[in-house]
Amino acid sequence: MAVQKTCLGVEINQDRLKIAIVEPERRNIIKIDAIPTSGDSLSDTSIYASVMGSWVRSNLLPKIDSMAVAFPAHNGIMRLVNIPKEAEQAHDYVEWEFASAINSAIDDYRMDVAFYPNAKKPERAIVTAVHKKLVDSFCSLELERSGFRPDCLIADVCALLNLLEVSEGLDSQPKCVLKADEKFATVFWGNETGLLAIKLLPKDFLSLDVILEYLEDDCKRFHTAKRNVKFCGELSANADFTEELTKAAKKLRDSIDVQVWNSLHKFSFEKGRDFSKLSQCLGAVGATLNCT
Amino acid sequence: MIKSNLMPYRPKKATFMAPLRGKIKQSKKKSKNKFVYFLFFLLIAAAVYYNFFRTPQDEEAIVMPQASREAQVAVPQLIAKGFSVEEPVVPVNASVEEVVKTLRPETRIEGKGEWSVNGGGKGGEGQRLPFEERPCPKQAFYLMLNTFYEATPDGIGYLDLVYRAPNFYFARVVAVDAKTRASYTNNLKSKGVALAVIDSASYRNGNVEFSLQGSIHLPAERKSGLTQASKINSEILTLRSLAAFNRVRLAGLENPVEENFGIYRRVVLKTTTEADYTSLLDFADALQKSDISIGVQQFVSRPQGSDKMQSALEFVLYATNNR
Repeated sequence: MAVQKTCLGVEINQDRLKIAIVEPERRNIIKIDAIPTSGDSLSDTSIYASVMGSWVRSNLLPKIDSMAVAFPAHNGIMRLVNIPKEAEQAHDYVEWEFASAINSAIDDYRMDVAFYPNAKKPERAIVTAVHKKLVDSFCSLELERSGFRPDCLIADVCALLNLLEVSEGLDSQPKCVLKADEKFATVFWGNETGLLAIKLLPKDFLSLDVILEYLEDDCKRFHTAKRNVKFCGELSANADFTEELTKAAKKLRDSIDVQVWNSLHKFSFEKGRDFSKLSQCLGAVGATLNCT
Repeated sequence: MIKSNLMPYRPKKATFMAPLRGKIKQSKKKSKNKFVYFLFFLLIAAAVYYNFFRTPQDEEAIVMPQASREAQVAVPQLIAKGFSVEEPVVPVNASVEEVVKTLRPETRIEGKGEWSVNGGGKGGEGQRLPFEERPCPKQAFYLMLNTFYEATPDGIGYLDLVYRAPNFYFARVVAVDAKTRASYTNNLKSKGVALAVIDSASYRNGNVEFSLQGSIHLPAERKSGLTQASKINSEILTLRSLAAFNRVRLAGLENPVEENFGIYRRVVLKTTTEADYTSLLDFADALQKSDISIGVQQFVSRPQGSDKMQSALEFVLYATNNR
């Protein structure tokens, strides 16, 4: 029997760590958890290492083969770039486009590009970039020693879209995901050709009305898509907020069906464990799909 | 699938591979000869080095191989004990954030129902305000920091140190040996600290890791009244100056969270700092001696790296509702 690789996925934000232990090849979720932190783990990775250390010590865990970290898209830069046919070198074009879109040196950022529909004849590119300082902090010797240096660093939006593709399947119909955390919300659309649109909503504007406005606008834009929205993130665990959002979305002139994303088809769950926080930890589960 | 990874490429560890079939035999023979020569020279070099440069320590090392580092620092398994419903179990080896959640002062304060101003009080003799029942806890914070400072001998290190108003604490401690641990706990007891050891486990190198929870002895505090709502900003500014004067840089003072309870309002400031213990102690001393009405309701500290510490301080201020 082949030995299954186990991957530890962590989704980081300003005040919480969401953790998932998954066997990505078997699509088996072993454990999930969400832990509050007293500081921002992204700006200070020693907090992340300390909290993870405590968590690992307090749980009997299987041997971890690799580790992936998902960071909030708003902590980096994500761009959807259309590549003109005239562009000879797609990568050079994307770099030039990115450099012209930021107001600091391109060398300050670490960039990763995914081409669609393929790398040979790309038509679109999804560019993810984060400040080099952030990547360097995850490559630090201290983190290496603590055993929590990730093998993969990915934006939460990409991790969630990958998870949607694996669990539900993606076709030409655009699908929408709303990830609402206490301090930030993200709405994104994607189909088999990758991400189609991303909208970010900071804490100061985070309200039911604005979220509904965003969803309604997008539904008009992707008018061929079904008016279904998968809802995940920290606020999905807030029963009052979820109920209000679902009701308000139904009351719209063209109603939208908002469903809490709390189940994963094609995934199995370890027996006897608590998976009630699943809708909060989906970014962590999605990150494990990129484990090598 | 979006194949994205922002981590730089890390070469995989070298692995032994089976030789490929169909290779020319001569090259295999050559490499075999090279290996024998290399082994021979290595043996000669080792013999020469040993004859000329050996030291008594080397011989000792050969005779008595040291235990591997991994064996020395094996992490012990701690066992948490619960006390009663009102004193919940601290999760085994939990993160300090989880521990803080288990510290619930309201379960231990006598006549606890009376200080709920929102109508939840049990007692009929008039409802008391929170700051009347729990005076502005800035003196208690200083007392707690000072007690631990004075009671800590050499050979004691903190993994976590938590204070929660009015006078509760939690500490996860590492002592170099059992004797140091005993001396430390005795010091605390002699200073009137009520303590319960929740977990204890020994490392193979003799170090002892243990967790303490309890309360410090609190003399009667000077009770502070409600501050004028118009003075909230100036109080915060004064706190900032006081902290800066004592080399404590507080991040987060600019985001006060204000809650309106009808007859009074509460302002909470969640801050973080990387100041060292002595600076914090000086700051706490200055704060308790000052006229500032802001108190400390929670303090969580943990080491950051080998020689720094990071602390989260939650300040609280009660003010009148009319500006």
